[in-house]
Amino acid sequence: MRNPSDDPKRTTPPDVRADFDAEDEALWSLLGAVDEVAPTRSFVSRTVDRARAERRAAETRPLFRRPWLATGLTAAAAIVGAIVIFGRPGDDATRESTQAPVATNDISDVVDILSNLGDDDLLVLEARDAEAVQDEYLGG
Amino acid sequence: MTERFLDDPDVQRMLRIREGDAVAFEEFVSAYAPVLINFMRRFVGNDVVAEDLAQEVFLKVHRAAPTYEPTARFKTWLLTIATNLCLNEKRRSGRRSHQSLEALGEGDEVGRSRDWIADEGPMPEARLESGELQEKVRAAIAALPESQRAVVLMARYEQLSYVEMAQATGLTIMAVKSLLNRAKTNLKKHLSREIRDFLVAPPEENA
Repeated sequence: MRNPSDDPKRTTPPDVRADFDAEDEALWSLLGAVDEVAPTRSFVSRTVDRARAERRAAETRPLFRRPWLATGLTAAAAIVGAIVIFGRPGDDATRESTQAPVATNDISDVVDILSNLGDDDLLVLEARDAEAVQDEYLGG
Repeated sequence: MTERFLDDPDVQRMLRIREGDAVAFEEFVSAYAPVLINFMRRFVGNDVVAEDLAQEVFLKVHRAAPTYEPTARFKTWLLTIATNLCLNEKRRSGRRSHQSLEALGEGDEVGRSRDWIADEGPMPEARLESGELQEKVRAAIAALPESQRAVVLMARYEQLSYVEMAQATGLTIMAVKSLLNRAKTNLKKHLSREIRDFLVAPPEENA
């Protein structure tokens, strides 16, 4: 693939060309000898897919991997009588993850969960009113 | 937001990306993949690394989209990210243990810059497809210190003005002019015979 911009007289900004002498002009023309390559066929789709994956991860990341937040939230939940739900990633991690979520407002549970996280594990937190999740997560 | 950049179609597309328009992002990647890959390729001299770096630029743009504000021409902003990434790659590769490429042997800063170039010469396919001139030009660009290389690539291949290059590099306009002058001087040393031939021969024979 040839360089489409190999006419330096046409494409070089006027302020840059204003400083040119004949040797500079010749040099600029010679630099046009460098060819260009096209992206590999899958480049666009790979890049778009990676960006989407990053965005999906980012949307559920704010509460991830932050032990101080997990413990702080749990402590706050205990005070106000709420429950914090921990789960693994998924479209709705607390319902569709492959591992059962843990609903608790006990700090020791949180410490245990955090200490067992692997590199690929993401922690999802959700604070809910205790009564609202009682039936759903704690067996009524 | 700087209103004067709002007429730029690329800025308008970026604002769509900022609003979460996935189609706009795909359009953007399709439109700018050749630009960024070739910019990176000229900068680092390696096709594989160039594609990886170009992809990283797109991802950085995607990550930055939610807070994007058009404060410069879009291409200038994009090349700022690309240049910074190239310089970071240089620093990163400079720390790698297998960086001991043969010194150029010409002393000064020209030789100093070559220690991070993954592949100093043209890539194998280029050797097959192109002639000696292309090989020499690529080697001359690769031998430039990275800051000089950046402004040459911006001015020659991406048509950035002094003001835009200053924005992209964070330097003053005077510093950019100085860099470009030093780059031209170094390139002329490497390509002296080719320039002489070019000046002797009628321009149409060199086209």
